[in-house]
Amino acid sequence: SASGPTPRLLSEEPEWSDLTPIPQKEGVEPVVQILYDKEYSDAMGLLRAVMLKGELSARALHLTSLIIFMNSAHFTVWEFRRCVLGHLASRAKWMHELEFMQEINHMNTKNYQLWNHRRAVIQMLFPQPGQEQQQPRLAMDTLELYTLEDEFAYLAGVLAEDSKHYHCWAHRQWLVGAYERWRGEMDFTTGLLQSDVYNNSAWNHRFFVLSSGGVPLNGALFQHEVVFALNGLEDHRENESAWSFLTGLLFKLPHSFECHGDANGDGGGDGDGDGDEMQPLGVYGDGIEHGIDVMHLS
Amino acid sequence: LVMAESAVDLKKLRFFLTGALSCLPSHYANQEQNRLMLLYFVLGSKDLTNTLPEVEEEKKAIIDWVYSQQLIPDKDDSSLNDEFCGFRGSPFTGNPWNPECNPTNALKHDYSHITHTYTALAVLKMLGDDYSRVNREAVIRSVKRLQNENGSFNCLASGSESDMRFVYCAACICHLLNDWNGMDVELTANYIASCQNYDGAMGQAPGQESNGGGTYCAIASLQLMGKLDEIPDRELLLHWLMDRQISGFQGRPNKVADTCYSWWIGASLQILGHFDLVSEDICRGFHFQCQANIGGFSKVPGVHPDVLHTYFSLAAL
Repeated sequence: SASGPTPRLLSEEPEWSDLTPIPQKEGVEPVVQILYDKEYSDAMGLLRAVMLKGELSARALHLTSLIIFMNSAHFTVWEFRRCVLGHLASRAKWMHELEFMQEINHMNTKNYQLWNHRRAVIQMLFPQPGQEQQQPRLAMDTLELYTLEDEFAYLAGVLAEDSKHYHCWAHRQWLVGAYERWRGEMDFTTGLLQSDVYNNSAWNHRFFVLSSGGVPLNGALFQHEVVFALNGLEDHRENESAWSFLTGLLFKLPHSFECHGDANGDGGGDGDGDGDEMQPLGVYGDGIEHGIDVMHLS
Repeated sequence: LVMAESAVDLKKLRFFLTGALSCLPSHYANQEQNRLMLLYFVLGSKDLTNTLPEVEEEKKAIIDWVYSQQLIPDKDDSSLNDEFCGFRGSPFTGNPWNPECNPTNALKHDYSHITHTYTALAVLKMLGDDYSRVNREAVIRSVKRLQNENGSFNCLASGSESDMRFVYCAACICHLLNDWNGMDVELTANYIASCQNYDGAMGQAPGQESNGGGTYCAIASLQLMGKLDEIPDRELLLHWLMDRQISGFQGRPNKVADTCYSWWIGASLQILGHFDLVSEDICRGFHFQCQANIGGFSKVPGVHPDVLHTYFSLAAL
């Protein structure tokens, strides 16, 4: 900058005067060196000193924030940040991570470390069913609320901007399974597929929900889904995602489909599991047979 | 700016790679902890174009730098870190310059990363090193420790995401060291099989959307393990792979082509014995649209080239 004094490096600030930054040792002829800023190497020098000392303090947390802003993919810095957070054991600080991650997300949303951290934060804030005993005790130093519904809404927001965001879908899939929040996921994918019937990620998530046992699968639902897939192909005969979904329904469901005469969706069949007949696929109407014929032709 | 050519511009590529081997511009700043992997991409590219360093001193300098990233058991109390061994991505934890891998004390928060253990071994092999300085036992023990109960692998002993990428790294490490004690092979094969989705391909973890990278890592791992016959539905997988070519290759249905998928998908087909299903000329055409004016390849036409897409483009071509 042309005017004004040059800002001091972090290591030159009084609050850091007790530590000497530790340099990287590259030897005489380093390879694939990266030409990054002095501010970054200075901050990392301080972090190395902090890590060597084993200091898990508020200022260490702040230092990781600064470094992550400069390099959001640094897995060791994120991991050290979680160590510090774990040690400080404050719910307020873990809640603040939601805001911190949002800021990092603005800079780069396709980041494994960010989404891995997000999972760790959610696990801290919400004990998983059956794992409440293993949950570390946090100082309850905040009244701020954040619910799982808020988390689902956040993910919906990310997908509204990028409907095929791989990390986000993986996180949502984990959230649904870990917290048994299956209801609403089918409708969620329906909405996305209405906007873009070619969204393979949405089709995949729908199949995941159906095949994981979270939603009870019966004859009525099966028929509904087959028709849904066929609708996805109407006017879009080349839609590979819908084809895969259809063949998945027919051939890849974990429990081969025991429709037990419930084709009309009226809860038919005597429910005792024996003597119920497997219905031929043609029972579900011309739709499927027509679809299958087209598939064989194409 | 791109050059619409019909061949790899080897002269410009050479400049691009020589530059990268020495230093990378500041927009790579978020890759400091992955420099070993970048080194692998650069040297791999050179290997594919027969331009690896030949001068002994140059090779030695690179080999020494790689060995200095090896994490070895603490000299006084090996139990402190003998399950965290392998290689780091760069000297970012402040580890001492130690190319001879002399005994040293462990540093806190210092862990190897499975990707860098793999790429270090690959780089050493490319340069003709005999692994004499590799602590094989510690590496294998540490890789084994990264395997989860479901058969997947983490990348860091301190905790990380677990997905198919690291399964592949583990398989490569076992293969390069010729020591399969680094994993429970049955468990790994079962994990991979459980990742085959309803559409025939694999995602990064069970149920996750099938994509080219995850699928390659799954297939290549099975091949290295000698378990290629354990793919539940090989036919459906072949169909999925074949359907990924749209000019170049896409990573998932209904997405744009990206040069690195020529490798992930092309190599998968090759491993399964069906490279004949690839339309080579059309794919080549796409790659040459992605060849940059300064040398190297980018992911799609019109953006900056990078070492990852350069390596995978060359590997595919």
